[in-house]
Amino acid sequence: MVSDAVIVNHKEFKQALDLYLRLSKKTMADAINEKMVNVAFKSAQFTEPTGPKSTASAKIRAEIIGLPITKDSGVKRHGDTKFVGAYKLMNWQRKNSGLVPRGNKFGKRSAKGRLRKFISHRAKSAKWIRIGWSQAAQAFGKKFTRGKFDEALNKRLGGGIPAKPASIVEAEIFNNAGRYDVRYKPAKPRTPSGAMVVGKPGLMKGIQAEIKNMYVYIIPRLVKDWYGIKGKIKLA
Amino acid sequence: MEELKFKIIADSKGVDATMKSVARSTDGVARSGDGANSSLKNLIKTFIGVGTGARSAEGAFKSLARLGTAGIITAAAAETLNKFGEAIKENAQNFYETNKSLAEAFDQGLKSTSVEQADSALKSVSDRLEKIREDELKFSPMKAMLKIAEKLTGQDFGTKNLERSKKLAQEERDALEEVVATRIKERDISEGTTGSVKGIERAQKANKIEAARLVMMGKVKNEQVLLAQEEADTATLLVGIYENQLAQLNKLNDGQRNQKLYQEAIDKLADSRLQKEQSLLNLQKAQRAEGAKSTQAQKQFGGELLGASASGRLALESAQKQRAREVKQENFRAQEAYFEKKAKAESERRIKAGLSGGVTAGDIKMQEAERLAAASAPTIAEQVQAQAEGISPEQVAIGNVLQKQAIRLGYQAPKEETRDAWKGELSKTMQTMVDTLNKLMSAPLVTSGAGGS
Repeated sequence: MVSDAVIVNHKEFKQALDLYLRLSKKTMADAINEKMVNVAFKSAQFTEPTGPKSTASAKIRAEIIGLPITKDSGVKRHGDTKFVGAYKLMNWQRKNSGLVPRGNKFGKRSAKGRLRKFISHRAKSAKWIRIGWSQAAQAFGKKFTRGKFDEALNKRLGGGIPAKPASIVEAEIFNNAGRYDVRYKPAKPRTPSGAMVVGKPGLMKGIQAEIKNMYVYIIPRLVKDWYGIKGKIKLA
Repeated sequence: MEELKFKIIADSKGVDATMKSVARSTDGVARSGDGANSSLKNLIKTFIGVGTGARSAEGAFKSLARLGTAGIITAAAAETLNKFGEAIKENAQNFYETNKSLAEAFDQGLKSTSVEQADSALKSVSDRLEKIREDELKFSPMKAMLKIAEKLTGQDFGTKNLERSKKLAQEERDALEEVVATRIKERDISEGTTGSVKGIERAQKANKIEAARLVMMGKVKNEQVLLAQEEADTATLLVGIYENQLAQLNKLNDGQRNQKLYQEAIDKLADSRLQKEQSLLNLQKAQRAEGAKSTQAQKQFGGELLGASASGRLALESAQKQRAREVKQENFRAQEAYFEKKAKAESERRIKAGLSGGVTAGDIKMQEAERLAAASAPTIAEQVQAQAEGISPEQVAIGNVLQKQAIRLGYQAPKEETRDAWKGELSKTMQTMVDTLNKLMSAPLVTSGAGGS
């Protein structure tokens, strides 16, 4: 299945990999495995942190505050309607989690506090995405140096399939963070995932960074072979 | 499904083989080119086969070309050209096959009805594209040389075949990616619709159970109306869902849309609309039946209540009598008004037709009575005519009365011509007979008067 989040044979990455293979003395499987680990590391590195003050949180907050206020059984709402959308969302989640909805009895001051907590829960995803990438790297035999997590949980969050020497060489890394919708009890698979919003830009940036990394290796060697000039380059 | 995935698929066989051959060629040229001029040194660079080196390689070949055809086919270049010639032959053979298989895969992708089928077509086109790229990789070291050779010999070695195939495959791959995306959207739409329909059906079942429970508890009496209402609500919701599905499908690209699914969606919408109409009709029927039932029940209940006491019975009887009087009076007034109105209209009609007016209500009553009387007792002749014409005897009788009335009132002339027609015919026959007898007899026959010869 091909979806928006599955990137197969990234065009520029493959071009760079072709050149890299010609110039390095590595086998194809080794080279691909090395590059996949680098992509996993870099994806984790470039995944945008989501704290209370991050742009992701700001986005979520703006979306919740801006939820449309519809008429309830033909009666138009009056007065301060700023948190009405937020009440509804929070009540909906309480209902899904098997808790009793609170109606509109949050109170104005209390609503602000509850909304902050609600958003901070939603904005925790970046951490899980990073753990997913760490598991992807671990599948290739490399470990992240920092962080200790439950092993079973980690395996659920991500992984990878290393390339083996063969005529057709295949390798992949995947990240399962955000696969389950924990707003429901029991949690159910969710499509499309909310983790896509934070995770996919990180992965794309990781791939681009690794492409640059390969050209840093390739270009000086080509220049040396063709023009006999030695030197190092630094890409912006 | 994995949420985020990055995958690389590469064919090491092609690349490794290419690398080996390039390395071998490079070694050979390098050994033979130790003492050669700078042009041959440049030739070595082309075997690295990197696109950015093409400019310098082209320059090298141009300088070689100045030496003439014999100049190119020297040293290591000869070996390269031979290899290239073989490859070109193979390429020319494969060119049409490649295009054919590409066309088949593309066609399969467009006709696909599921994500998996479209995906497999996309994969097949992508594989073909990869193969073309590998072939291109094989040729890239020698491409510049071949172009020079084409220029010198004036022959077509098919340098552009690969580019054409590649361009075609790329275009088809891009188009198929869109098809796959469309299929995914279609799948999401149809899955969403199926989910909604299931949810509604489940809710309907639950509501039916609840209705049955309410009826058992005695809280609700009109169970049929309740069930019909439930059916109508469900049908209305289903129409909304199918309308939404069709609207979503309409947003997709017309050329890439799965026509079967689209047609099914249209059919489902039409069916659901019919179902809705039917359920609304059923609801109306049920409501009417319920209304009649409740009126009857009220009547019976009221009758029983009043019949239980003498005073109640008396009240009922007096009320019935009063009602009968009222009805009689009302009916009299109604018939008077009816006939007066009709008489007035008839008078106006007569005056307009140039006849005398002054038709009274009594005249109209008489006419109506004549018609009714005729309809209640048709003659045998009318019955025979009705049988021959395939209509009822009453109709024939009323028709005859209407005709008579029209003649009487002066709307229609009496049929005198037809009535007297036989007279002319008979007198002619009689005259003929008289003439014949006169001829036969010596003395003329006197047809009138007394006496003889």
